[in-house]
Amino acid sequence: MAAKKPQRIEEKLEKSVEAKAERFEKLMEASNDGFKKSIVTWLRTSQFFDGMVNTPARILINTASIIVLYLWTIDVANTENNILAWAITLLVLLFMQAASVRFVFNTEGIADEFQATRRNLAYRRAYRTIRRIALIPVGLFAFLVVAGPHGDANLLWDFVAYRLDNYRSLTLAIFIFAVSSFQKYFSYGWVGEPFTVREKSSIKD
Amino acid sequence: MGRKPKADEELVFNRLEALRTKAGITRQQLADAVDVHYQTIGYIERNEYSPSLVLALRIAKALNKKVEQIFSLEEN
Repeated sequence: MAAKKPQRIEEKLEKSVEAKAERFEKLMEASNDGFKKSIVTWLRTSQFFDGMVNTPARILINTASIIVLYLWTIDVANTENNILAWAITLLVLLFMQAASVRFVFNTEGIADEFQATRRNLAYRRAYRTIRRIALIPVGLFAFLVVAGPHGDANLLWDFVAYRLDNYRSLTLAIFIFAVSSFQKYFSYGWVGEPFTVREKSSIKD
Repeated sequence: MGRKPKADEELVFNRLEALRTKAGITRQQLADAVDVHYQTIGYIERNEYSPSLVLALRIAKALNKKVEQIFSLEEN
């Protein structure tokens, strides 16, 4: 009889702790959802990024991205210099690209149905482009095997091994990551949103 | 910009801008009411995007109109 009482108290304590933990968990989940919702609402309605979403801004951002991604990369790989500045610029441009399409690729729930339609189209185009880009080295390899000087595929590998030191390997890795990351933004198109006044209508009463 | 109606795609015309203006609400207010971006309302008003049935129904509800009073297959 005496042993049963402490057991009951322990059970009660355990249940109470469990209930409090559950309540705390639910509270955290609710506040987390609320926080996420407020961020999504802000991203959807904020005018903060309006300067980056119009067509001239998208043309500028896309042009800068292409120059940094394709031209500066050649310079970085050849001179083996400025890799940090190049990588940081790529990151900044990646963020600007994301802002210029209103982060529709990044967070679930941001895009409305029109933006989602456009985003999905861009994803499909980007997938096709990446597939084509990936075919280039495969095609080159096949060409060397079939029509190379001695039908020798090792030639390509020798060239790569000769040219690819640690620095260039890192450059190449960043470049591959950047190409695949930027592709969806390029596929989104050069045309941005029109300059539309939020508050006024073109129709007068 | 965006998904322009293709030649072979059936167009859906609308009187959204006129009805919205008559109701005295802005694009932003309508967008908030139907949970889309205000630019999306602009695309619909310019007939550059045909909304889904769900969005069309939401817009009709927000404007207190019937769907067919806003959207139609013939240009009014």
